[in-house]
Amino acid sequence: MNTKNNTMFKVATDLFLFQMKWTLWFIPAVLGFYLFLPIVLKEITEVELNFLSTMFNPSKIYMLVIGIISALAFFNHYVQNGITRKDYVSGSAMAATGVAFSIMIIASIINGILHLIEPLTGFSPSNTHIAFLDTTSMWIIPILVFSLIILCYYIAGWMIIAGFQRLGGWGCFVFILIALLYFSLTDLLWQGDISHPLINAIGITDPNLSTPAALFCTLILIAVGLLLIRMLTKSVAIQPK
Amino acid sequence: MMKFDVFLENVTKEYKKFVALKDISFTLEPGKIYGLIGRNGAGKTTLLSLLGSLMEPTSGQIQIGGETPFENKKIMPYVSFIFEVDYKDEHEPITSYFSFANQYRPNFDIEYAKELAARFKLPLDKPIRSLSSGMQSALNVTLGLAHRNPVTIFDEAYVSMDAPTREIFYQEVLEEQQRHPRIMILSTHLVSEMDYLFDHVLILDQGKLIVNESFEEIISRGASVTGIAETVDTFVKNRNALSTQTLGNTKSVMIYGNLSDNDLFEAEKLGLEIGPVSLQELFIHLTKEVE
Repeated sequence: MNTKNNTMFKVATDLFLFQMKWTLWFIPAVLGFYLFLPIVLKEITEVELNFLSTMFNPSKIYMLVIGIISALAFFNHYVQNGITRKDYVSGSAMAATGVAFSIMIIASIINGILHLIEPLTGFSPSNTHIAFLDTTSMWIIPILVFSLIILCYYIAGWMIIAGFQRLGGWGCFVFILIALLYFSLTDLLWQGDISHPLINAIGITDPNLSTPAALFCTLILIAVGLLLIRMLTKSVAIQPK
Repeated sequence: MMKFDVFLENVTKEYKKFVALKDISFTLEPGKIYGLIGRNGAGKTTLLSLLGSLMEPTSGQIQIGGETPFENKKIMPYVSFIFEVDYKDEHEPITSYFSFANQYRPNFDIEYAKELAARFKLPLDKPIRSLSSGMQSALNVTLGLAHRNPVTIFDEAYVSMDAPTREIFYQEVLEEQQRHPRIMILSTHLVSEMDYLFDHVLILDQGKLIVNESFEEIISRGASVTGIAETVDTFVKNRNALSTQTLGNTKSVMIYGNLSDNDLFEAEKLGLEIGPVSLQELFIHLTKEVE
């Protein structure tokens, strides 16, 4: 028998496991490129970034895409099966957070393994960190920051579909712009002017925040994004098909 | 145990400028099978979507088990709304759907679901997208029956099944209703085939509820009067004639409205033959558009 209060956690577990199935294809794919690209392309003599930092950019796009796909694939199915919109959104947000952290934790573990086996393989990727964040020291910070940033990309993707479900074609269009602004803002918090052309075009200057301040703003941005999705889906109508 | 009776009061649903349902009120009681009949676009799916909490009414109130069902976690898992699902992108097998139902439907009986799947000859481990449309329909009704929910709605979920498979479904509906009585709503175009299942009939026409009566009542409202043309004409004068058929000097008129014992006595005296009218015929004539 179902107990009434655990539906949200069941949704979270289900969606997490489902999306991790996709992710377990994605991580090896990036790892493959990371290991074999320098071999194939002779001109790259040295791997410029460590694996954790290398994972970061493809993971943003990956999270954006699965944010879109999962909202399209699961939302209607769950509500049609008697799960409230609220439980779905809460569960799905938890699952997305889990996926974001899992990607970065797995990437860190792989990073660690690559360094451990370095003497055996002779493969010596540089331990250079990504431009905006020191990833060589205190692993917990890069994992946390990268995970939260890629979570924002997931929320951006989800928001586009929520806009479409609530407001139709025009909603989709408007929310593509909002999503673009949303992840540009996320990047601005961390990467400043190396971020998107959109931000440069608007003329916002690099806020150059300290890590704790940027972290705090990112958490606020995540909360706002999720709240927006909740508002959009709160009483959205679903067509039976 | 909560009693899941269904109560609608003055429910209206509008889509932008189109009014899909107008001022619908009715009550549904546990243990009965309801036939929901209406022409295409009459508002059947909209009405059922409201009961299934897929959308909210524009005005009026809906209660299931005394509570508003929309976004209500005490109600939504107990209402099954089964319709033709598009499975063209579904790579998962039926077993995944069974375990999903097992997780989220409180009364789901997985053994019964497997039994039904075997009866419908459904392969449990093949991707659902590779099944024929008839099999996909059979999967939908399998889930609906095995959810064993106090409110179970089938919206034309059987149209793709072939006649023998539909027959199995009808048998199961009746047997299940004996074993686990519930509110079952069957919306259909296949009126003549399914009418024997209905305890109660709801007819929707252009968004309005025009009939809400027990099967016996609605059937007793119709009668065919056959005999010599002039005699028939005299008898049906001032009655609601739905249709007329003439063959030579013999005429048959279908009338709507109860016939009293006196009427029957008079008809017999006039040598008229009074016959029954099927629900299908009544439905066709009651929802006929004025040309």
